[in-house]
Amino acid sequence: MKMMILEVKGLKTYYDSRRGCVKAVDDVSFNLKRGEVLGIVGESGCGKTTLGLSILRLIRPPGKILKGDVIYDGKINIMKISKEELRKVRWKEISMIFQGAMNALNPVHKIIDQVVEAIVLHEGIEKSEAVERAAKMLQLTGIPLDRMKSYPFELSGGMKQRVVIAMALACNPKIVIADEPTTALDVVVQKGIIDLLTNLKRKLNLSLLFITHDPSILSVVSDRIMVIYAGKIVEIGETRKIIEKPLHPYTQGLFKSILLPLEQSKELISIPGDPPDLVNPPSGCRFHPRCPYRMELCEVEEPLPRSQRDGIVACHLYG
Amino acid sequence: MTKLMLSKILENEIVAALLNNRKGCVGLIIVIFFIFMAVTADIISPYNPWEIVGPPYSPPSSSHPLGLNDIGQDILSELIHGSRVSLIVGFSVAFFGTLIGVTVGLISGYYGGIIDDVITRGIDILLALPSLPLIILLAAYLGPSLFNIIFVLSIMGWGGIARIVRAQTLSLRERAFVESCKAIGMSNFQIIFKVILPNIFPIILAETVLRVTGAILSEAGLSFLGLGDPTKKSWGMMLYYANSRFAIFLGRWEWVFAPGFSIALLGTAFCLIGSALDEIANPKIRRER
Amino acid sequence: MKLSEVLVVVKNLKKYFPLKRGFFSRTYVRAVDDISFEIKRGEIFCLAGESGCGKTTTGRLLLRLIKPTSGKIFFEGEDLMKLKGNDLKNFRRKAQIIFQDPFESLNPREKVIDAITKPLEIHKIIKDKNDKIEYAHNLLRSVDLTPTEYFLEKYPHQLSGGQRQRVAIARAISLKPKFIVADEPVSMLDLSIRAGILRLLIDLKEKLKLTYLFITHDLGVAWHIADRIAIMYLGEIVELGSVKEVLSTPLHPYTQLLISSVPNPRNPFTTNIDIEHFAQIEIPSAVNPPSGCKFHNRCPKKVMKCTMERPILKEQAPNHFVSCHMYS
Repeated sequence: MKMMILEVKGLKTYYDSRRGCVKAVDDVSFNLKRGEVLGIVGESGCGKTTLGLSILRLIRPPGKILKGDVIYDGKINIMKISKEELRKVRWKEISMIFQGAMNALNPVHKIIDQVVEAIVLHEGIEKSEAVERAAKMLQLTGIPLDRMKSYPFELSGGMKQRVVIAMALACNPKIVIADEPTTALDVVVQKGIIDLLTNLKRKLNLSLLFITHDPSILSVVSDRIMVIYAGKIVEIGETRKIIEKPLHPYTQGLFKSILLPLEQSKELISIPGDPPDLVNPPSGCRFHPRCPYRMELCEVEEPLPRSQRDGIVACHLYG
Repeated sequence: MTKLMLSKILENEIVAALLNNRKGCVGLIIVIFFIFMAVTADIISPYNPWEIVGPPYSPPSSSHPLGLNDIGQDILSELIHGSRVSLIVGFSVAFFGTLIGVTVGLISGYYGGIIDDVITRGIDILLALPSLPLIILLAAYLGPSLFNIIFVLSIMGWGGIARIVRAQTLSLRERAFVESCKAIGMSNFQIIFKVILPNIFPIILAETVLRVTGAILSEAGLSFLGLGDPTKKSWGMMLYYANSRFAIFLGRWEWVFAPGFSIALLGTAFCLIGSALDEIANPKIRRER
Repeated sequence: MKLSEVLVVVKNLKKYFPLKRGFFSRTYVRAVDDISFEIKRGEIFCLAGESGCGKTTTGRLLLRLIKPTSGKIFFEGEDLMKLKGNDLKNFRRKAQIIFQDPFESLNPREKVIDAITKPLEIHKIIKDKNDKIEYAHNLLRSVDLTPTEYFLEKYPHQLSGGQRQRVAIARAISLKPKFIVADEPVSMLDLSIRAGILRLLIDLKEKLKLTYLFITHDLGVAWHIADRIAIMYLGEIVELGSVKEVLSTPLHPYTQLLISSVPNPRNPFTTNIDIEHFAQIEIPSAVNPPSGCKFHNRCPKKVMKCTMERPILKEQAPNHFVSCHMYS
């Protein structure tokens, strides 16, 4: 059994917008190990959601996946297979928790019916069997038996998110792409969901792609962290190492911007400048206008990702 | 001077968007055509439509492309002059209806509470009344004049737009930038008319234009039933006479077809513009990030 | 006239929102359920809690954007609800608000220059166009939106989130207020931008001698900016004191739960096992809150008394107040 359950190579997804071509995902390559949680962090507009959608080929016009390979389990290249075969992969091998999904639950269907629907749509099994499986899945995600026939509006935010997670796990996938699964939730509920995902990962032997804009969440949930800026990967590495000693200046700035209670220093550190324009990104290294260590080379030449310390950094400081 | 006005009009984002929209353009061209016809009616009309220029019921000929009506008046001239009534009624009813509807909708939506409850029930009743019989009754009672027709149609027609404006106001009222206006000390009047109104203007415009069609058709209908203003040439009146004088029986199709087609064409044109404006209004409401 | 040390006094404030349910029965959402506190001149007072705790409603009440169901609010010694006409307009000059959503709080059809000078026009401080431009330049400079000429003519959708928020701040300070309610001003901004906005707020506080009511759900932000903090739960204040004390030695079980739920990159492997189980239980609704202490069904330290009697905010340590039966 191969150690890499997912290999992404040279993925490029662009959007056609009125202002021009938005280079949302620009030549991204990384691997997901079996059984690991890879956290993908970046700020708004950096392309992380587009990346998640691209992996399952869920990009619609005006977006387009221009090139790249996404190899699942060393055998299937998702970008090259037919629609028929893609249907066998979606939800059954790789599923997704979409951003804001908890607010997109069908308001006129009971939650158990929605999980049943997910099962029946992807696996042509008997409805009674599907109901049994759905109930088990909902229980697994922490929904008590007496709430399974509720409608979404009767549930709190945290419970709705559990339903969404149950739907994503309904067909026993091996990989789950979770796009901002805790963003709209209060901090206590958020902790509950994070704990749930960690437990489920262990129980069901999942591999998780955890997309978020909040690096502090990744510190407690992910094994490795991947940092994205302006559609490009700037750093990948083990969580502990990245927290202790981030290499890329953007990663350093990002982690320094986290405001935590009970910190010794009340210093307020931010990264100067503004988020980059993905239609006309800065030349050379896309982070150079905001980088405290920028050199002349950085304005001219784009730094290539290089192996560093069991991970990857794309920065001329380490070239 | 006019060049400056023209460039200002063309620079307006709504106009620009309209010109970019195909059906909007088509509608606009047709409407401008009819406006031109109405404005220059006296000049381009071959004859005075009230003048008797030949034997009644004369069929079409080179000098009278549409023939003569039951009294001997030139139908083409009638047609050209008829555009005036349709346009005047159309614009006036839409304008006054909108004026009333927007005011009521804004007040009802912004203040809420019991004012809103009372007004909404009032609008519900108004919209539930059978409009056509009521319009006929009122028109018959008040007497046939253009003013009365405009009056009646305006009174009956403001309910729909009031509802739309009320709904928009209700939602806008909750938005942060409206709340911030309250916080900086703006009076309710200022907030309603200087902040909320401009923000819902595109929708109001779209609705108003769509209502012009309804007004034109209503006027035509009233005139066809004989309740129109006999002192003015209107397409509806033409149809009234064509019908009551058995035009089809006499084989004078063009007498019926010409005004009928004009009504349909003008009505459709406004529909096209209104529909285009609706499309423009909606993406504007949808935020562009 | 002696300037009082206390700017805002809130006494037994209640706000119940009616839910139109039965014809005869009237249920209410008890958004704010009897709270009392004071805000001192020149301090940053933080209202913290999760969604639905009533902090946003409290902020609106303090600015008289909504009217309380009962209770009193005093601003500079005057009863807020009794203000009328010119007095009310004067109050509006002294008390302003910054909203959470930097896009929503600006009129999408207004240019920056119009948005930030509108308060000045409403209060007739600006006389003519030149006045307006000069004020606009100064305001943009005070919020670090430079070069100012570049930003004057822009529309909100042409600016980034952080820039929009700076415009909103410029508008709030245009009337030189004394008191600003900041309702989650950085929650919707990117992480790397937040510190900049917070620094700006602190700078402006020093320069313009402002007092803030800072509303947030993020304890990290509260730690870095606030002087004192009040933790709210289901419409009540459960703990109140200096930010340092409340967050480093939390007395109320809910405060303890909140702090231990914050994911901590610097120390990712500490968990409070005591709290784990109770974190799973859902927050009760504000329509039918539990009897007695509203937190009792989630509290690991619950006793019989907690289900029957509502605890009162009492001073437990110097200037550190808790509302919990454990301490009475």
